[in-house]
Amino acid sequence: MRIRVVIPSITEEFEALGLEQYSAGARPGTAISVTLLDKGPASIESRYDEVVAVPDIVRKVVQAEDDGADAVIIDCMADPGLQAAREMVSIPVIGPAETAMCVASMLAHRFSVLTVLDRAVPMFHEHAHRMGVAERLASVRAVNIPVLELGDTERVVKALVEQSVKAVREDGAHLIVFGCTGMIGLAGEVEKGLVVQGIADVPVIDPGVLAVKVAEALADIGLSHSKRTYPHPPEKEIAGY
Amino acid sequence: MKIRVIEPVISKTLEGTSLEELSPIARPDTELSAVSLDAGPASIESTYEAALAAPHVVAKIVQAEKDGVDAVISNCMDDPGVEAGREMVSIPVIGPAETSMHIATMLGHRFSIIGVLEADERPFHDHARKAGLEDRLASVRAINIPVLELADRSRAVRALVEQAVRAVREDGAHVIIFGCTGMAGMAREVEEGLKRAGITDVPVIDPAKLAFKIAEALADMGLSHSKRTYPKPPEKEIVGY
Repeated sequence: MRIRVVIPSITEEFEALGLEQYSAGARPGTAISVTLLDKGPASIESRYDEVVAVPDIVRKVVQAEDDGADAVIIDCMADPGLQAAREMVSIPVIGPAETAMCVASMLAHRFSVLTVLDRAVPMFHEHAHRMGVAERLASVRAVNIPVLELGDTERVVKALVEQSVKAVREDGAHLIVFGCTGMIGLAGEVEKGLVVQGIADVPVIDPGVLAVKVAEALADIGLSHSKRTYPHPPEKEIAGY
Repeated sequence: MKIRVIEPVISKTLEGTSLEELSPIARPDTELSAVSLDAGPASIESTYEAALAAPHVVAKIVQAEKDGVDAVISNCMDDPGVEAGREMVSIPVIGPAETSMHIATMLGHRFSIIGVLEADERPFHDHARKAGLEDRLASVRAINIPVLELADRSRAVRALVEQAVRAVREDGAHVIIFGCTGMAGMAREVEEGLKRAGITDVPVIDPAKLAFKIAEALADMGLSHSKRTYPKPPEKEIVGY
C-alpha cells in the first residue's frame, strides 16, 4: 500500500524528519512518501498561514491520487484544506486533528490537546465542535514553542510533560493529544514523564502515527469519504491556479 | 499481533462468519481468533438480551487479555460489555457502534444506520447521543429480518439496498452504517445495489470489518483506553460469577 504525506510547508528540514517518523509508524509493506509545498508558508501557526498553504495542499493531494496513492495524510493539526481536498479526490484524505479527536473520544471521558502557541487554542475548540465532541475536550494548552523550534526535543518533551501534568491535575484530562504534528514520535517519552510524576493511567495520542494507522485501516477495507458530502466542484474559470 | 472477536451470543455459527469475512482483510502479522459465549442469548435484538450477554462478554474479554490477545472486539452493534470490559482490562476493547459512528463523522455530513428490527431505533439514538453525534444521525431504519435469518444473504442484501436507497433519498443520509455485525461482508453488494439505483456517491460502512481494522491500528500503536476513565472496579463480594 502507498500512503502520501503532504507536509503543508516549504521548510526543507521537515521532509527528512517527516519521512523518518511517518515510515516508523507504517506497517511492513506500506510505502510512505512525503512532499513539501512549492508555494506556502514556512510553518502553520495562524489562520493566515493556513489560507496561504491550502491551495498548494489541495494540488498536492490531487497529485497524490494521480500518482496512485491509496490514501493521503495532511501533516498538520489545523487539518488545513481537508474538506477542499476531499472534494477533489476519491481516495481517503486524513486530517490528523479530527482523527485524533474521534479516537480520543472512544478511549477516554475527556482529553486535553497540547499545542504550540496560545493563538492556536481556539482552533481546537472549533475542531471539537465540528466533530461533535466539544464536551469531551477538557482543555487546550500551549507549550509556547514555535513550530520551527520543535527540533529541540529535550525542551519540547519537558514542556509537554509539564503541560500534561497540569491538564490532568487541574483540567480533568484523562488522555492527552498532541496539538502539532511536529511533536511526532514523542508520545512514549511524554508517557514516561507522566509516570515519573505519578500519573500512570493517562495515554498520549500521537496524531501523526494515528493518521498512518487509520489511513491503512480505511484503505484495507476500501472505505473513503462520501462524495455526496464532498462532490467534485463545479467546472468554471479559475485564474492564477 | 493477536486480535480476538467475541461474538456476544451462544450461537457458534457467527464465529465462522467472522473468521471467513475478516481473515482476508487481516494484516499479514495478525493472528485472528473468534469465540462465542458459554451462557447468554442466541442473538441480541433487544436491550434485555444485551444485558444478559454483558457479564459473559466481560468474562471473555478478561480471558482474552490473559491469553495474550492484543485487542478485543465485542462484535455486536449494541457494544455489549464494552465499557465494563474496559474497566477490567488494559488492552483495547472495541465497540463497533461507537467506532463506526465516529469514523462516519469523519467521512460524511450525516449517516443512517440500518438495523434488523424496528426496535433498534432507540438504542442507536442512545449510542449516538452518548457519542455527541445525534445531530449527525440522519435516521435509523430496519430490514425486519431477525439476526439468525441473515444467512439468507440475497434476501438480506435486497432489503438492505431498499432501506439504504430510502435513507439516502428520504432521510438525507450521505453514509450508510450496517446496524448489525451479522451483515458482515455485504457492504460491496449493497454499494452495487445503490449504484444500480443511481446512487454512486454514498459509502457503506461494515462495522465488523471497521472495528477489526481499528483494533489492529490501536494494538499496533500500543494505544488503549484511559485507565483514569476506566479504572479497575473496587474489590467486593460478587455472587454467581
